[in-house]
Amino acid sequence: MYEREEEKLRQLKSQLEQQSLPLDEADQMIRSGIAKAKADRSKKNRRRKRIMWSAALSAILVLTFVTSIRVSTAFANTIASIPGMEPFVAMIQQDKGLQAIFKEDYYQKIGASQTVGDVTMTIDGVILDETGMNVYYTIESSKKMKTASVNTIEITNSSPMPEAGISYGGMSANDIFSYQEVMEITFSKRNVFADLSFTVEAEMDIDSSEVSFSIPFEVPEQTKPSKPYVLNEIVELDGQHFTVDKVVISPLRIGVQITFDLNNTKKILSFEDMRLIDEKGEVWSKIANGVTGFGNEKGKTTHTFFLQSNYFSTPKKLYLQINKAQAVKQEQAFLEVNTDTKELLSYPDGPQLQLVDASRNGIELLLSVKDFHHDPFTTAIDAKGKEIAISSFSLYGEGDATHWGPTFETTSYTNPIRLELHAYPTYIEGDVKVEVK
Amino acid sequence: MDELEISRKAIAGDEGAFLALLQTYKEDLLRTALAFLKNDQDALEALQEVTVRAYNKIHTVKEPGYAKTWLIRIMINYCQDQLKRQKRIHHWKTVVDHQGAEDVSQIELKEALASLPEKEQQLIYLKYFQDVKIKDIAKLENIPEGTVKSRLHKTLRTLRAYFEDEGGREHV
Repeated sequence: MYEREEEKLRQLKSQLEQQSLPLDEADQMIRSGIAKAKADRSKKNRRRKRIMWSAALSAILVLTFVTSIRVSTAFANTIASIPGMEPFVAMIQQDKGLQAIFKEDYYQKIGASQTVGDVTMTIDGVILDETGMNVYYTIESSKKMKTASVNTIEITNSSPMPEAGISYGGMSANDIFSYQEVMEITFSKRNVFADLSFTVEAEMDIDSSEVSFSIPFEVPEQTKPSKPYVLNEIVELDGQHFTVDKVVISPLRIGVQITFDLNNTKKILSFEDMRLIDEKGEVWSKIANGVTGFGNEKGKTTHTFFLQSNYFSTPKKLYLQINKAQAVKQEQAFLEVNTDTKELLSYPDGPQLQLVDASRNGIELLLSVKDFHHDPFTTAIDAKGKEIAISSFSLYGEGDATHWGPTFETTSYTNPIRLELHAYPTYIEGDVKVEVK
Repeated sequence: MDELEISRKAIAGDEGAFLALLQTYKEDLLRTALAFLKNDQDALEALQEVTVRAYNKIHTVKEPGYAKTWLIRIMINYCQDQLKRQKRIHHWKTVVDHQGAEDVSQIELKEALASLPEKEQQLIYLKYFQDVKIKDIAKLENIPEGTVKSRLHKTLRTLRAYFEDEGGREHV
């Protein structure tokens, strides 16, 4: 009935079959596809990453959700050859310092594990330096895990652990037998452990049961010493002054300590493009994901900003450069909201900010700027000066706008409330260049 | 390991087998991509993305014997999504920039497929380019064989009109 059409289709098929195929590159694409799938999986978990802070420490956090990372095959293969590291390929590739750590073999394999019932937790390896510790671990079960999440996880040493920010994955399993996670500990001050025996204490919620692990392990090698460069140089960016106190280079990160001048008319919230450049023009930029600095302590004007590390390279010359910073007028560095009358009482000059909805539990804001991936506030203060913790924060793009949705830990507070800003899309520009070495 | 054994292991979560499965069918997958998309570069990118999607969903495949067709269908769906996205992008752009060289010999096939609704593109492609049996298509789609047959006829009828129209133009 349709012989002619079928014949035509057969012709087209044989034409298609004669076409040459890019088979050489095909295997690479399949391998990088597998690496990407694993990376996506761990990224999904990371989206629910929880961050704990010890004591009154507060940190500068940037939430960046890179939507698509094209994983380079050669790099994926290097990392994938280390047990337990595949899910971290994309994350490591985003950070030059971490890449160098793996190239230079500064990642230390551990392999200590404990089995409780069906579930085994293995500490795959750690990266330890004076500024922090990344602990990579695997949770494995003989039965498929429908849900698995970290309830609490901490690490102990014979001496008390230094004050630190700890970030770790939230919900992780989804009908699988095993998954990998990382706990990232960022010390607020440089620290060297005399004793390299640690214990990970973790409480996991796996399906409906609670499983506790206590896994002692020894880090084989002592940390490589950080390289501090004391500068104390006063610089100016668009009329605002600050001192670059020092730059400390460690394997996991570079800390740039800055003290802002109290007389500045604007409050600098963060530096957009702070970077180190060597004599050949190679650039080390900001840490892209997770804890990007320490600061925001009440009444203090000293902050530390983190850059990706160049610890393992040996440039002859090194410059710190800054051209752009987020800044708001000193007297406008906060939002003021009345959650009962649903009014946005005050916000900085600049792009439109709209209060879409409000209740005592939380507020929803729409910022007329596309893709502003920063976490703008960490706490709120009520009319009586009481601190209200922000228990969760949602951030997503909505067309040409960015949606911010903080929820509060309590509903018992006095309106109006103030949210101190740690990020805002208004900028100052200039040219700061400081010789580090 | 034969193909069935590879599929079975891949579905069970064996990563080596999953890699082997994709390698076994990479030619069919690339060819499928080239039936819809512009050039080798797009086809390779499609292969990477199909690998990602398949990796996440392989455990849902019930019959190891259908793994190949399952992969081909993911590829077709991906290609159709890409074409829709490109259309949208072109809609926004006033000037369309041509990226990469298009293989002219395949334009006829792409245009013929594009003349069909998406579901029918998939049907025609599976039946005539991958030689999937009507009985298997029926099983995959979870519909009676008779329905597949009548859909095929309807699709061929659309193609007849298309080819005739095209033929007519050629003769002018």
